[in-house]
Amino acid sequence: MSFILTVALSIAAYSIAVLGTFMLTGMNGLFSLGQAAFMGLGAYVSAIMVVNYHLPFAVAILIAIVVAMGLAVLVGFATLRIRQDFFALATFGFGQAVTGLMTEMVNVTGGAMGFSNIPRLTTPTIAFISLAVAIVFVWGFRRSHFGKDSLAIRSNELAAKVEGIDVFKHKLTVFVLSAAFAAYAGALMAFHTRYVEPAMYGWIASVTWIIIVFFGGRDSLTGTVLGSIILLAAPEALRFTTAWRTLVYCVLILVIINLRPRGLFGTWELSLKPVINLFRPKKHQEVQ
Amino acid sequence: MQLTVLLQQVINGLSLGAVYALIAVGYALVFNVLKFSNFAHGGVLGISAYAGYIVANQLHWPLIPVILVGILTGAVVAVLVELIAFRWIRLQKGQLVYFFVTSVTMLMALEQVLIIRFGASFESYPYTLLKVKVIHLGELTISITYLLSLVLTIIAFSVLLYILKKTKIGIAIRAASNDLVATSLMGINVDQIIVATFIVSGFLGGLSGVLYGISASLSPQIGQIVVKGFIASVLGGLGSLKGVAMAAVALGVFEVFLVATIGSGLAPVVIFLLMVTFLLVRPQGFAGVSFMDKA
Amino acid sequence: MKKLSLMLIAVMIFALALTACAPAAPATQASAAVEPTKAPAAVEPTKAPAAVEPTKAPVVEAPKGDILIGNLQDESGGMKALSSALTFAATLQIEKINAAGGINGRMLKLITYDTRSDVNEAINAYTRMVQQDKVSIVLGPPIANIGIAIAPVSQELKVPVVGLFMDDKCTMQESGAPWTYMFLAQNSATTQGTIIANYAVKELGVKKVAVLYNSQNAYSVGLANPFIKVIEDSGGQIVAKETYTSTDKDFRAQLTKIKAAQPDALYFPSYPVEIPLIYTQAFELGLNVPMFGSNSVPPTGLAPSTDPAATTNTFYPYGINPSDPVLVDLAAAYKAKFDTNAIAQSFSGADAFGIIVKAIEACGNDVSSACLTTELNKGTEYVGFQGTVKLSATTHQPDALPMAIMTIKEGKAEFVTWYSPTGPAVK
Repeated sequence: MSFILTVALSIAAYSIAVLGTFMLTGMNGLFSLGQAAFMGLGAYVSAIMVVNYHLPFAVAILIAIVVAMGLAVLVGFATLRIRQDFFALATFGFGQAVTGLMTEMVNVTGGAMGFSNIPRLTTPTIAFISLAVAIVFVWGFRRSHFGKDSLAIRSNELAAKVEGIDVFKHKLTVFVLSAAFAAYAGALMAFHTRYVEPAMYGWIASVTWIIIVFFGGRDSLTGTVLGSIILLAAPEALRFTTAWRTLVYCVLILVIINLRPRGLFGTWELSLKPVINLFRPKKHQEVQ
Repeated sequence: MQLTVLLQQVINGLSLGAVYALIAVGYALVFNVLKFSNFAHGGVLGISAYAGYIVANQLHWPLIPVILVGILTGAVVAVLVELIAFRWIRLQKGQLVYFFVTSVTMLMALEQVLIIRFGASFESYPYTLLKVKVIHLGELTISITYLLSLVLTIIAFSVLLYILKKTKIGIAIRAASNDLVATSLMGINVDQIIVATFIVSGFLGGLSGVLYGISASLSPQIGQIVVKGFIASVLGGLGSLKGVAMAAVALGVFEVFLVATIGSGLAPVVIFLLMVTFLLVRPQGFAGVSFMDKA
Repeated sequence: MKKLSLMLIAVMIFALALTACAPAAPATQASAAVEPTKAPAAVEPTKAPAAVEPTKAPVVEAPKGDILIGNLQDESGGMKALSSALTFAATLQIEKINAAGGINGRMLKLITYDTRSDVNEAINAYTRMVQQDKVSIVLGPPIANIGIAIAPVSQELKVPVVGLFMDDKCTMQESGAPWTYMFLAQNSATTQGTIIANYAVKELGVKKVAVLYNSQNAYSVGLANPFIKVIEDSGGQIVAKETYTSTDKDFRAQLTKIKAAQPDALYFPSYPVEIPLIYTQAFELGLNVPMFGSNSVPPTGLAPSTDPAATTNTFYPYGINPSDPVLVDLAAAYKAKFDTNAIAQSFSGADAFGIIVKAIEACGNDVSSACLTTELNKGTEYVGFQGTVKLSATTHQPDALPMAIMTIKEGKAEFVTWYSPTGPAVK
C-alpha cells in the first residue's frame, strides 16, 4: 500500500469518528470528552473477537458496535439529564474509567502493553466506502426531523421541550449513534495499524475531534469533513516542523476561533443544486 | 487497618488534597466569573512550575524566591491566556462553547511550548530546596512539601477571601460572578475585573505549579492535573470557593483510600461512578447554588 | 467572503499536496492524528544490492553506497535517558569504523528516528525506515512496550532488530518459538530479576519482601514476576505487593501499606521517572529498609536533584561495572563528546550495535536483511562490554551474563560484586 493510501485510509477512518462528534457536539451541543473511549472499545472488542475467538471480520465489528451502543445507552441514561458542563465532566470520567479498565484487564487486553498482532483486514476500499456511507447517513440525519430537533435543542433546550420534543430520548439516540460511529472507526483503525493501546483513546483525542468540528464549522457537514481532512493530513504536511507541529496546529485553531468562530466553512455546504439545475429541462426553471 | 496506618493514610490524603485544593480554587475562580471551564489553567500551572525549576536549578535560588517566581509567572501567563484565547471571543459575545475550545487548545499549546523548550522527558526540582524533609508525630510522618502546600493553601485562601470580601476589586469580582452584565451596567470596567480575576487565578496557578512541581516530578504534561480541579469544582459546587476547596481535599483523601484498597488502576472507575451519582443526586455540589439554565 | 473561501480551498489543496510530496514522518503524539505508513499487504523482502535471491550465486558487482542501519530510539520522550545512550554508542562505533575505511569499503550510516516513547510512532518509524530508507537492519530501543509491538511487524517487514527490550514477549511468540527478526542483546528481564532476587536472598538473607511495581508496564511486570518467584521458591514471603499506574506521582498510599507490613526489603522495578519519587516518599515515610531496584536506577536515582539520604542502602543489577578502569576512560570520552554520563545502556547498547556490525562483516558483499538474519540466528559469540554475548537460537536472548551488583552510598554508585542467576560469579 502506498504511503498516500495509508494516510488517506487513516484519515477516512478518523473522519468517521469525527462525524459522530459532529452529530453529538456540532449539531446537538453535547460536549462529550469520552468519545475516544468508544473508539477504543470498538477497537479492542473487534480485535479480541478476531484474534482470540477467530470470528469473521464483519461479525467482530458488528459485535463491537453493539457493545459500544449498549454501553452508550447505560452511560447516556446516567449522564444526559445533567447540565452541559457537568455532562462534559461525566463523560470525561467515563473515558478515564474505560481506559482505566482497558489498562487493568491485562489478561484480556494486554493492558498498557497494548494489543498487538492484529491482522491487517481493513482495506482502503472498506474505509472509503464506509466514510461515504457515514457522510450520507449524517446528511440524511440532518435533513430529517432529527436535524431540526437538534438545532432546536442546541439553541434553547427549554423551548424545545415546550414544543413537545422528547429531549432526553433525542439526546440518547444521538449519543448512541455517535458512539456507534466512534466504535466503527476504532475497529477500522485497529485492523489497519495492527496495534492498539489504551493511551490512544484518552480525553485529548476526544477534544481533538471537537476542535476539528469547530474548525470546519459546526453547522456545516462539508466543513467538518473537509476540516477533518485538512487537520488530520496537516501533521503529515507539517511534518518538517516536528516538535513545532502541534503548536502550529493549536495556533491555527486559535486563529480560526478568534477570527472566524463559525468555522472555516461557516454554514456553507457543498451543494449539488447547481449541477442538478444544469440538467433540468428549461421549462421547470421558468415556472419558478 | 491499624490506627496509625489509618491516620497516616488520612494525612497522605489531606496532603494530596491540599495540593488539589490550591489547583481547584485557581481554576474555580475563572469558572465562577466567566462560567466556563478554563483548562488553560493547567498550562499556567505547567509554565510556572518550569519557571520555578529554572531559577531553582540553574540560579540556585532558595525556596521563597522560587515560589515568588512561580506566582509571578503564573499571573503573567494567565493574563496572556486571557488576551489570546478569551478576550476576542468575549468581545464578540461568542457562545460559551468557544471558550471551552480555546481553553483546551491553549492547554495543549502551552504543553507543546514546554515540550519544545525542555523535551518530552522529565525534570526534578533539586532536593536541596527544602532543608527539613519530614515532621514526625510519633509513628506518623508528615512530609514538609505537603505541609507547605497546606499552609500556603490556607494562607492563599485567606488572602483570597480577604480580597474578595474587603477590597473594591474583590467585591467587583464577586459581583461579576453573580452577573457580568449587571456589573458592567453599574459602570464597573468589566475588562479590568476580568484581568484582575485572571491575575489572581494566575497567582494561585503559579503557586500550585511550583508546589506540585516540587512534590511530583516535572514533565510537560504536568498541567493535566488541572482536571482534578475540574472535578473538585463541580463536586464542590458553582459559586462557592469554600465548597470547591473542601471537595478537593475530600477528593485527595478519597483517592488515597481507593488506591490503598482497590489499587490505582481501578480508582478511575470508582471515581467515575461516584461522580455520576453525585451529579445525578446533587448537581449543585456540596455547597453550590442550585440553578437551572435560564429559559 | 469569496476570497476567504478561495484561500481556504487553496490551503486545503496545499495541505494535501504537501502530504503527497513530503517524505514520511512520525505522527503527532498529542492529537488523534493520522498514524500513517503501515506495511503493505504483500511485502517484498529487502533485496541485496547485487543478489536477486540469497541462494543464487550473487552477480559479481562491487557493492555500492553506504550500509544503512536503522536506529529506533527515544530521543526526546520519557525514556530518553536510557534510549539515547544507544544512539551515542552507535555513533561512536560508526565514527571509528568509518575512519578506518568502513566495512568492505562501504561506510556505515545510521538512520535515526525519534520514537518519543510512543508505540505507534515507533511502528511508523520502523516501517518507514524499512520501506522508505531501505535499511537492512535496525538497532532497537531499551523499551519493552515498543519491542512487543514491533515484533509482529518485523515478521511482515522481515528486517532484523537488535535491541535492549528486556521482556520475553519481545523476542518470543506465544507459541514458544522466537520471533524470527527480534534479538535481545542484554540479559532478559527474567534473568535480571532472578539475579537481584538471588543476591537479596543469599547474600543479604532477606526473607520478607515488599514489591512496588507498575502493573501497566511490561518492563516493571517482567522484572517483578521472576523476583517474586525466587523469593517464594527460597522460602521467603512477599508481605506486600503494591502496584501503581504509569501516570501516578504519589505512592504514599502504597508505601504506607508496605511500611505497615514490616518488610525486610523493598523491590521496586521502575522507570526513571518514578524512581526519585519513590525514593523520596519512602524515605519521608520512614521506610528504612534496603531497597532493590533495576538497571534503570542510575539516570535519575543518581541525579544531583535526588536526595542522597534517600537513596542510600539501595542495590541494583547493572550490565557493567562502571569502576572498571577501561570503562572509566571510555566513559570520560563519552561524556566529553555527548555531555552526558555514560550508563550501562551505553555499553550494552554498544554490544547490541557491535553484534550488528559483526553480522554485517560476516555477510561480506551480501548485506541484506535475509543474510543478516541468518547470521544473527547462528548465535556466534560476541565479546562485548557485558562479557561474552551468545544469542540463543531458541529465545533470541543471550545465555545468562553475569551482572554487577551496585549499591548507592552518599549519592554515588559503588560496585559490590559480580552475580549470576545462581550465585556469585567471577568475571
